[in-house]
Amino acid sequence: MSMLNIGTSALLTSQGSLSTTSHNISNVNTEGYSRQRALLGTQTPSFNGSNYFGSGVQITSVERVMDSFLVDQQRIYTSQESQQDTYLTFAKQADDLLGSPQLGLNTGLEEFFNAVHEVANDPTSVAAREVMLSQGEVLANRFNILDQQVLDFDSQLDSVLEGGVADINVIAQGISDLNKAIVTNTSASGGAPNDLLDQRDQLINELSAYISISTVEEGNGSLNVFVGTGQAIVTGTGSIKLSVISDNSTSPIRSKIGYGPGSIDISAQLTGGSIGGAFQVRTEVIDSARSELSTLAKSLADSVNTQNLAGVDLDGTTAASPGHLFFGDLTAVTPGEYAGAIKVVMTDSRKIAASSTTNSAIGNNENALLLADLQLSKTMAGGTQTFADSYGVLVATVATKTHQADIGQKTQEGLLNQVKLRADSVSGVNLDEEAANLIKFQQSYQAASQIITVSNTVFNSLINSF
Amino acid sequence: MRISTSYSSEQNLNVMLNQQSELGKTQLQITTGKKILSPSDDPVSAVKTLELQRQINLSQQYLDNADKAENKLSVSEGLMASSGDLIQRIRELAVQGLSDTNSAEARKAIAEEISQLNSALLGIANSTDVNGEYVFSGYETDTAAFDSTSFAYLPTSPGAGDGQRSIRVGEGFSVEINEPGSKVFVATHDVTGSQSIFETINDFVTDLNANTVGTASANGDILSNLDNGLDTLLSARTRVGTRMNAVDQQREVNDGIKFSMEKMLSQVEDLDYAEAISRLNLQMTGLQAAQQSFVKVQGLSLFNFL
Repeated sequence: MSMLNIGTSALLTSQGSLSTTSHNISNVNTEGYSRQRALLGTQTPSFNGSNYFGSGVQITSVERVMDSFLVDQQRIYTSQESQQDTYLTFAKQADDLLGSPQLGLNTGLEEFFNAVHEVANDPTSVAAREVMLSQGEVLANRFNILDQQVLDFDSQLDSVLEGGVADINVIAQGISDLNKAIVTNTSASGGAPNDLLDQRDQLINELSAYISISTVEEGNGSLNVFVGTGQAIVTGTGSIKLSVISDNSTSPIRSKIGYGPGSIDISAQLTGGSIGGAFQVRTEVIDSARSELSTLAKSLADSVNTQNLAGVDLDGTTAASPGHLFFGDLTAVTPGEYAGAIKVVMTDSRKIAASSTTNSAIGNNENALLLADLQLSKTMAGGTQTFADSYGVLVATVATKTHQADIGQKTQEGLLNQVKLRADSVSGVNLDEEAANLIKFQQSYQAASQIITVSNTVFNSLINSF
Repeated sequence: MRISTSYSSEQNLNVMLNQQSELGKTQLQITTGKKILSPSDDPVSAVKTLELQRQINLSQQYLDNADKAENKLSVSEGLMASSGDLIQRIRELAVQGLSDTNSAEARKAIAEEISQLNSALLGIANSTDVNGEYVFSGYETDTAAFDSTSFAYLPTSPGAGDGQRSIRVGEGFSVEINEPGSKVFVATHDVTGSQSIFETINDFVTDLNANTVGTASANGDILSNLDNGLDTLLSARTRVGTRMNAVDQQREVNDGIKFSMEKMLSQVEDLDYAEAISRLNLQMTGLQAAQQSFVKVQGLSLFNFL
């Protein structure tokens, strides 16, 4: 093999290495990019009858430096972190809402019962009665606002699901398109389309932020993606769409997730990612908060009504339903929606029945005292909690769940960052390293040029000898 | 370990963002003066805070109730004190009127004075409070206590006429804030058994006018009947006084509870400024150091030497 050929192979190889280095440098900030490396090998030696002579160098392959284990781990942690993050976002909102001194029920209950005390102190005072009516309205209004806010969270969760499904479909389409390109571009000699593989890994990573997924790679290089309990959303070069469907079993109607053309409900099977987090926070925080508020509203309205109906009003009339109902009757309201429906229906404060039926008289405050005592009577949770206790338990439950989610999210974030660091320490571009490589390959290029020059000189000295 | 260029800058940036958010939290704590910004910061303390606030509020309500009870009781007490003085004065006049040295004319003059005093006494018994409620009418606070001609106790509905309104001044402790007229101005009488003091006095006025007081009166012994009336009034006044004492004591209890609850609340939710400010300084130093080292480290590159 001639010196010129060997020199040329060295030049071309150095050029290849230099261009790989340049590619790395230019992609230093590309997300999901794995640094590439040109692997060099000797060319097949030539045999001149007695000896083997080396015949130069060649680029055997350009590979991306990556650790598929770390890539998989990163995907799993991304799902978990994103799930906790969504959970935390919503739990925190509920937590802030219930704990707010302006909106929380605590002060509302206190102020209402203070007003009842004032009626007991001065049963004939119309002013005190009017204050009790309006504090009752304020309290009912707080229930309504809390219920509305919780419903707003619920519809925000719907948006998370809708946005998530739309993005998942786009990404799944993208992955199947990349599958197609990867299958077409994988050369027979085994050279892999590194940048396409990076792009696909990046999309899969993005997908895992929405939902937990599993993948299976096929022999031809294409990748199948599954969600839930094995529902394929990418099958080679095709993709199957998820859709948002209505859950009619709840009031108000909200969204869940359907699979494929038949829109089969797979919500219960979906875990991880922002979608898994949305479903989890919906059951654990939003639904339970709404139901607790509802129970509290019903119990409060019923107790106050029952007590008021047991008395005699300022005009000496024995209280009777419906004229002497303080809060509107909730029996016709769908269970679970009492907090949104509670309201004061009494318009005439003289109908507050401060007097008891025995010894009834205008200055009798016995029934008003019993009304005020409702504040401290254990009417909730099977006779173990007062209204305020029960609200305290709700605040504590949501606060504890939020606190846990906060810790969970930080832990997952820590794990994710660690695995990212490890994956990046394998795959990420280091500019100093690339600078050193530039120098190295520049030198080898210069040396290879010298081979050409020397072979030229050698050839010239041979020619000139004639 | 090998570190990629973009990751190292991203990680440094994350550290700075975290420090900024911690700094922001400390800053918010300092501006609000509260340790707990939302319940999830410390669920246990948050719930304790709610409970403490509730108890403080309730103690405050009991204190307000105690003020109200004390007002009402002191109104009753004042009225009873004046009534006592009037009856005392009437008794002196009665003693004077009974004396045989008096002429019929003189007895008429005394009768006139006693009659005036009796009207004043009746006026007191029919007093209303600031809300226009009759003080001595039991639960029937819209009815005058005593009739101005028959002197009978008017609120006679069973139970309600003798009703005593209670006000809650402590947990499980309530105090009656009124005495019905039937227990204040109606006393034992040696002839009728029991009648209002006004009627007793009025009967005596009639006797005086008729100048029949010297003989054995069909209306009984005025002095002993007045003494009975005074006794009844005095024991009613004692009951009211005792209750005022009880209210005072309960107020001290509630004040004590409220104070200790407020102290506990402050311990649970109030910020330790010294600690928070030194933490703020530490976090600011940390952030500044991270910013400076970021700039310095980012400036390092082999490319600078190519």
